[in-house]
Amino acid sequence: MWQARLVLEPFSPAVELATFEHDLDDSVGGLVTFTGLARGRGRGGAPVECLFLQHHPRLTQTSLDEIAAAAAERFEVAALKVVHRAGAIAPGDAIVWVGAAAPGRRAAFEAADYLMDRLKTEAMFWKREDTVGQASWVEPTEQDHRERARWV
Amino acid sequence: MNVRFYGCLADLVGQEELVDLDAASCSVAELRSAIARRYPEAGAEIQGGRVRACVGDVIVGEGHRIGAGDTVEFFPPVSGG
Repeated sequence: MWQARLVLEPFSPAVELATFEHDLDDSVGGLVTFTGLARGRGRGGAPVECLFLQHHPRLTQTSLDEIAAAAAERFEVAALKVVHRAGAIAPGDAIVWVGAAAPGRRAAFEAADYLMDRLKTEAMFWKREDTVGQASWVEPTEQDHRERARWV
Repeated sequence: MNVRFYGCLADLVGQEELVDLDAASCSVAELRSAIARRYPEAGAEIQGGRVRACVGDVIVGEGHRIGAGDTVEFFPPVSGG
């Protein structure tokens, strides 16, 4: 069981967790969540005014679905959920939330880790960091690609 | 044909979309060259091997023939999370 949702407005990780937890079946022994937040400082250290995530009208959702489905197939999990923001995001706001619930903790940890490594490098978004007087497009780092490559 | 640019490409070209681009049927590679000639600032990026081309929501190769009525989208490297 998995779901992936693209959202264009701010969302609450607490609400996502509550609904995720509410829908779990009694096979679940643990759940892992991760929340990605918009940083207040850019890669160069300048204060960020806004993070902008451009998305594709159809293929962004498709990419989220593919990543979530692959995680559900790969790990012994009972439920997975991905929520991903697009549009203009204020510093401190949640960009992404993933939840992984499984009978055992290892699968839940690994599924959340896998989801994030693939979302960072393959989810179809184009990310722009707007600081005072400057806008720069942000791509995955070498470390992001190395972390993605762990999951062959 | 129409051409749509995403991410940094839209900045380099100066707009997100070229509507009714006056081009006969051509390959993706030929379209990249035409865009690079018209927008030299975007040439290195669009021809540098990092930007994928997409027609009808499917990623296509350099030899793909684009029809006059097609919309071609160019995707620089993506980053979520």
